[in-house]
Amino acid sequence: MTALATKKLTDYSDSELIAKYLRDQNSAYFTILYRRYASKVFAKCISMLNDEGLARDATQDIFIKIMLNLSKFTEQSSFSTWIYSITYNYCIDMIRKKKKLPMIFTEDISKVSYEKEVDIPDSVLLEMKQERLEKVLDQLPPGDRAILMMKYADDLSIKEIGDVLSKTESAIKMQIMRAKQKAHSIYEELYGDDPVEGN
Amino acid sequence: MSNSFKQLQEAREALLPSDLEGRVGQQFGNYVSITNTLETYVPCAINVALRFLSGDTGAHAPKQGPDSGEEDEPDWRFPPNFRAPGR
Repeated sequence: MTALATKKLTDYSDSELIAKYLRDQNSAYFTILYRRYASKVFAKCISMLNDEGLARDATQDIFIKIMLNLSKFTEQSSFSTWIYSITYNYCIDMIRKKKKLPMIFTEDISKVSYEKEVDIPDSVLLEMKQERLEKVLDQLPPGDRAILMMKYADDLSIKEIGDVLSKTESAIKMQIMRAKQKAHSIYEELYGDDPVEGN
Repeated sequence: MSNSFKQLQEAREALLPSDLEGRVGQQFGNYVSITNTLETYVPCAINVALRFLSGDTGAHAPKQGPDSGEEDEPDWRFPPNFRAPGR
């Protein structure tokens, strides 16, 4: 009993906080969830929208959306996956409305000769200098940026990425491979003459 | 293990504006008060509109109050036609 009584709000799991919020409608529970995920959602919005101001407004709208739809969270996936899914879909909608173009993944833009597909080693991307990686990502379609960030920054599994994007695991594997190829070719274009990191 | 993607993500996470939490709370508060107002008044407004559209002016509604025309409740303490002694 004392253990329960002294349990801090921050010690509760996501599911416990959601249950408590839905039962009591006390915003303190939601505030803890906000503090857990706001920075991640914000970073994701910057990655996809490439604009800090838009990312701020998007983060605000996304959390209102999460709050209003909390009762629809079914725990079929983890809460973080559910949040990423809302974030991803919100940003894609925003990009589509703004640009009126459905260019979300590399395959939407160019018909790559898929017969010659080569799997680029992870190390090529992971060892890129941060500033260079940022420039390379800026030139990728938003869907590719998101998928690479989910895999390499958030360490989501292929299944979790599939849950976020509502795609099959094989489709996700293929999209990761193409996003890596595209990122590599952009890197070659930008820094082919200066391949040594740090120079 | 840290890599360039994680470093980039961390750098972006650090840019989260501190006032955003208050803005989210405020926006949600506004939403809740608007929803409560709508929940309270919209059903009444719909009801009135439906009655108006159906031509019900309320003339046939049962009257209430002292002019309702209803007889007074009988006083069950006394039998019918009872007269108090001495009257």
